[in-house]
Amino acid sequence: MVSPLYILGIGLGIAFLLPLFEKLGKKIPRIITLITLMVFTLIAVSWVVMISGAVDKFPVIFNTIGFKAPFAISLQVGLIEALVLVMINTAALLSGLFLSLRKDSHWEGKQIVLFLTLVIGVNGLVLTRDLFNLFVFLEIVSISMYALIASNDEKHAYEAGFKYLIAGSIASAFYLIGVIYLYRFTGTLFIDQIVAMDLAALQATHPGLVFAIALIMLGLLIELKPFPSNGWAIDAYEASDPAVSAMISAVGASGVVFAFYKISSLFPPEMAEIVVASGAVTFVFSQLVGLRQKRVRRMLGYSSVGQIGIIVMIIGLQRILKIDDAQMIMSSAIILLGNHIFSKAGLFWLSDIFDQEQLRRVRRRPLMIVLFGVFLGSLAGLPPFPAFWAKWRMITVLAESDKLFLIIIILLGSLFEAGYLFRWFTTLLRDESDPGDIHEEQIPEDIPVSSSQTGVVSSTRALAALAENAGSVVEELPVLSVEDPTAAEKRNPVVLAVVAISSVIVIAAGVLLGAEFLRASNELLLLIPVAVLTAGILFDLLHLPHRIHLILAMAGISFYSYRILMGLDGIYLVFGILFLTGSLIQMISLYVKKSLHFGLIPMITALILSLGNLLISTTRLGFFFSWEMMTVLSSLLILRGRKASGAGLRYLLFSLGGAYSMLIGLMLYPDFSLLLQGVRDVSTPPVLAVFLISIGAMVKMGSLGLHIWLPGAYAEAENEISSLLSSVVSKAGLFLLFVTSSLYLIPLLPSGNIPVSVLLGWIGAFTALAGAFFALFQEDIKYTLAYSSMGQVGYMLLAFSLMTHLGWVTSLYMAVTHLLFKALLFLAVAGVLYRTKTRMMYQMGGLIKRMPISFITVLLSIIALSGVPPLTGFGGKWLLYTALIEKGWYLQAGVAMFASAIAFLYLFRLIHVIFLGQLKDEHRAMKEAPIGFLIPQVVGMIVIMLFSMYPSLLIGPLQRAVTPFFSESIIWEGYTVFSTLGYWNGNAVMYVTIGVFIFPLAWLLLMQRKHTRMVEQFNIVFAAERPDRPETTHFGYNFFAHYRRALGMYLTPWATRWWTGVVTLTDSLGGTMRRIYTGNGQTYAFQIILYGTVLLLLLRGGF
Amino acid sequence: MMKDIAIKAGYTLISLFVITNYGLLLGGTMARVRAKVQGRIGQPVWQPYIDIIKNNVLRTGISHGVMFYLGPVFRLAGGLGTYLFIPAVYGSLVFANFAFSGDLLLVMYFIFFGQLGMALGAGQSGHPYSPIGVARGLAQMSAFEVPFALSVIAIAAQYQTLSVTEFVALQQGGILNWIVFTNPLATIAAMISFLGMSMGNPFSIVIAPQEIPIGPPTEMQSSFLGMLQTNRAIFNGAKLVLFMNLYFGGATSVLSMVVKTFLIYLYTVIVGASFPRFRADQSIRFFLGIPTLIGIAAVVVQMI
Repeated sequence: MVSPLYILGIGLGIAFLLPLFEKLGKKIPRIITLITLMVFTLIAVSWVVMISGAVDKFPVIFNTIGFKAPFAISLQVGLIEALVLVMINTAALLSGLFLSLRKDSHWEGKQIVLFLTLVIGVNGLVLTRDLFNLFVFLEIVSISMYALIASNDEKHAYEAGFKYLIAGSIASAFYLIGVIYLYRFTGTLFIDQIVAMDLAALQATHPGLVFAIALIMLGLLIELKPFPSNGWAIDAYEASDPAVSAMISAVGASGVVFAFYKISSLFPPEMAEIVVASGAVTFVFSQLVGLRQKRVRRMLGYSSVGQIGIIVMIIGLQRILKIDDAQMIMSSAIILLGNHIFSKAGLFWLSDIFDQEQLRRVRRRPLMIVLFGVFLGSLAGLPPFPAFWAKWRMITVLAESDKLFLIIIILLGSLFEAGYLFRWFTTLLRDESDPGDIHEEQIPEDIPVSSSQTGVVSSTRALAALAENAGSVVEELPVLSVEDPTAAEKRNPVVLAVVAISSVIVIAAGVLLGAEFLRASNELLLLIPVAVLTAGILFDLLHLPHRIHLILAMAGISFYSYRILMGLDGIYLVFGILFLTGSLIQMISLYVKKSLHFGLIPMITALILSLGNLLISTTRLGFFFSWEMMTVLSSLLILRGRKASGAGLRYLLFSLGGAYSMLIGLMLYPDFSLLLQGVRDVSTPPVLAVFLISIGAMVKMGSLGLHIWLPGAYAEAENEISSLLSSVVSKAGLFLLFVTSSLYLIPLLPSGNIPVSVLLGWIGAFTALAGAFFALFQEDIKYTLAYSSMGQVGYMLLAFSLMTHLGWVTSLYMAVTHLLFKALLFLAVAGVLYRTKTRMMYQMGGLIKRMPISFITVLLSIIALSGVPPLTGFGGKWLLYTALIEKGWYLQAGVAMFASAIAFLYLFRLIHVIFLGQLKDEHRAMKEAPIGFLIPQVVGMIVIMLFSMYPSLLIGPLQRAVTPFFSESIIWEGYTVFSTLGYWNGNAVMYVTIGVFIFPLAWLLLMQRKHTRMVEQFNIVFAAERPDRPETTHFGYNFFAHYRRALGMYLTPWATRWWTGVVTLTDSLGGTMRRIYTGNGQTYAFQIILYGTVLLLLLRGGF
Repeated sequence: MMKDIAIKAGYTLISLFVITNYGLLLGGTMARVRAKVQGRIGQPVWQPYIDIIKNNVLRTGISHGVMFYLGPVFRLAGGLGTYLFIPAVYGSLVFANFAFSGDLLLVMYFIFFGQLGMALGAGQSGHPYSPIGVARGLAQMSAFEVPFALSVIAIAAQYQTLSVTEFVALQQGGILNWIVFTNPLATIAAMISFLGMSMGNPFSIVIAPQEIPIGPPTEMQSSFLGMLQTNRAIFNGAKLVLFMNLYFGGATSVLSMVVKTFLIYLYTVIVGASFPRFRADQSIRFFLGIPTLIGIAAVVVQMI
């Protein structure tokens, strides 16, 4: 085994000799330093290998000068030390590579020396077991950091370095005084020896002992930048060179954290509690303050501080928890530390590259986006990155020890962090034309129509103006396209490669951890989406034709679906078909895209597989992992939309909030298994858990109050994605409800007998109504469809909440049929948008003659969607009202009927304003939608007709799927289905309808056979005037103006106001807190002293 | 089997023949009633026949496209279908129609079928007055559906059925068994909705003759218009029969059907003659106000 002394010896030796080497050549010191760092890394790796072969022989203590401690300094190498050193030294190596390879690198002279001393110092911090030696290394680290910070060209760098120096000196002073006293009380500086003493007994003779330990703790804690006394650190992150910040944050802070961990074994429990509190406060408040931050480096500073805060919290916790739990939670701390080291360094480097290349947008730089996304995702704790697994483990341990409050803190902080990190992501990613805050329809300026024109517009200028106006909301443009591999990508590929190594480390660690975590429950299959995503993105780099990718992906999904669906039955099978088959059919429409869209197909594939995985996951971890994967992938897909940055961010945050809410709920109720149990054996979970879990589901479904992410996300995403999200992904929420159905029968109030499901039912009913009303007033077709989906999912929630046989059949029936109608409608509309290049309905009109097949699709789907017989949508309404009245939910039935009438209104408006009325000049030469859009439409229409003719084809299997949970409530006699209230014969209705339709048609054909004459456009009786412009004749804008007037104040968007209020409040809270960072060194020093005093007073329990 | 179908077809034709002629005559009669109120002599009772024949034999017919052509077909199919899904005379084989296809919910939703088709046909004409009329009509429809739906839910809850035949059966055996007496609240809510459904004053904004020359059918002429006029008779008949079945004990003979539906229709005419017209938004607010509250009251009564 290599002695750790070599690291320190070689390091110090080289560092001092570097100025000599510089004489040989400017580049020589760099090379030597890099080699040294590599040696460090290899030594650490060799330790890990040795230790993992013989765990019980370690840790090993090395004595320095032949004497045993306390007479000499001793170094310790154990598994944790070795692991941390591997991470730190690798990060240092990568940092060195980055510094020497980056453009116009000035990495030479004293900078290299300082860099190397910093690394040695950190290694020493990790290895030493001597308190005073620890102080020495701490000083080495600190001094090199001050100098590194101050050596930047930035004008505030000196100031920042100086402030850092002040803070560091105060901390060192605390530490040193503490060490002096401790030595006086114990007579040794060797940590292990002190730990071995009976500290409680010693405390009795030396009352100052706790105070001494507290001072040591305080000294190191201050170095870890606890909120709120960390302004100096934030200023330093902002002012220093980003590559240096990477070192400070990844390497420097990690060393100090480890030192803190080392001395934590001295902490008495009450001190550990204070440490936990300090860590928790730092974590959550740094993230809160970060929300308001616009400057990237400063923001990353907050994030660093927060990450270290959570590790400090864990270090405190491991002193309080039981020994097993302590080990578990410490392992998550190591994972979090590694995650932080590589991602934070990566982000600092990326921010440097953005600066170097003066990039304000990265939309067309796929590799950059991938790296960026990986680092942000791993910092925010999204799957499959290491922090996700670490946080999962942490939360599990905390839940077992009933520390709910800490779980909430962790999740809240994570949510804030995801908020500002991904705001940065979306800001950089967004298109030039995207203002970044689009959540509702944007109606373009009107263009004046000259009254002197008659008939068809002929002037080129007018046509150009029309086309330009129509094009202002175009969205079908290649986004993230790599048709033209930009030269920019090659600007400095070497540096990017260094960054990429870091991201590969993060991904690999995440996957390995995932495999480790999921192997326990035999759920390795759940990692397939990650594998597919990675492989797919690499495959995309080959630049094969788009359609080859598509076919391969569809083949893969088909194979997966086949394997999965074979093993499912009952309600699981219904959802399996919904998720997998439903998505697969919609993927056909991607065939229309001509060029390769980087990452599109891998992301869609991974999304669909994650949805499928929800069905086969057997544990909470598996379910939550797949759920989060689905969330993350859908928000990335939304972000592809041209103006979707704001909507994508909102979607991500709401979904994460929902997921965390669900997670807390699950943790509150540990005995609950996520397997569909039905409602027969009603359990008695805590009410809060039930609420939190249902909120998770309702966020996904976009239920009223939690829906404000929905319109933007569905509407601003690309058309194919909108369709997939609204017709398939939204059902994941429904699935969660079914899986957790046994929870919702507990009483809403402790002393009552109204179950929670009643509340859900009302939410469902009002979601249906509100969705319909919102849809009624939209001019933008995609917003109409988005709100329409919201309303339809509301019906499903309502039907589910009935908790009866018929209710569940209805809910599933509606889920299946809604998939059909909404997919058809979205696809037909996608075809229209593809041709017209506008989303504003009133800018269309008369398209029936140009796009007859699309018209028929829309006609069929709106008849079906609005529930008009004879099509299958009526079945849904019939089932719903019957189920509601059977259960006695009369008022809900009334609300549902009102909603369905309103749905009829907006659906009519949709088809009328697009397809009927006056054809516009710019659409005269338009063709029918491309075949890729039409094929799934035709398939869908055939299925709808089939289900309409033979409703038992669909109701029958659903009935059987639900039967295990409830007793049957409907019976069949031939084609007629009977409930306790009424009956319906879909087959007869169809025949009667055909009959009564054919009869008048024949009559009309007979009467009109000779003299019917087709007339041109505008040939209408219009108050004795011949209208001449389609724009002035087509009635489409503000179609239901009278309804708006009638409803007046009832249309106030309360939910939007409420959430805006929440955001404003959070934001201004963060803004107010930020004021403590005055930038004044004296104030900072005062804050540190004050912080220390408060902590010590807390420890004493008062004055 | 074939014989059964032939007999059913024969019955259907008889049923349709009766309702068409009754509807036309009823329309003519009511036009005269209205004229009397306004101090005019009015048209002859058979004027609807004359209108329909005239429209069908006109020498020119103008079409604006396929959907325009199919619009009136949809409309008439909607009227015929609605009628055929309701049993017109209780206990009569001839007038049982196709009530076995579905219950009250089917009838309520089938009404939309004709409206949708007609609206689409009118839309293709390209005349702005048509969609303006449609927008008003639909908006008003969605509003009056609310008290009507609540009323239906209340009586469904009361009688635990949704079958129209069942409703009639349960109301047999004396006038006090009629729902108008057993559930007056539901009946009031429904009868107010019925005013909107009949589109007479004060809810005649849809076809508002002074502003948008007759609204949706503006561009309809020749046999298209003829078809719509035929439908008006049948559809009106269907609605009257439905309300009679639901609230006024149904009919056990054609005669009682005629008397009851005549009186129900007369009620709308009387109201229409007494009130001026609402604006669209006023009409929406009206239906969502007091009538809805009455409907809710009717439902709440069933819940306690």
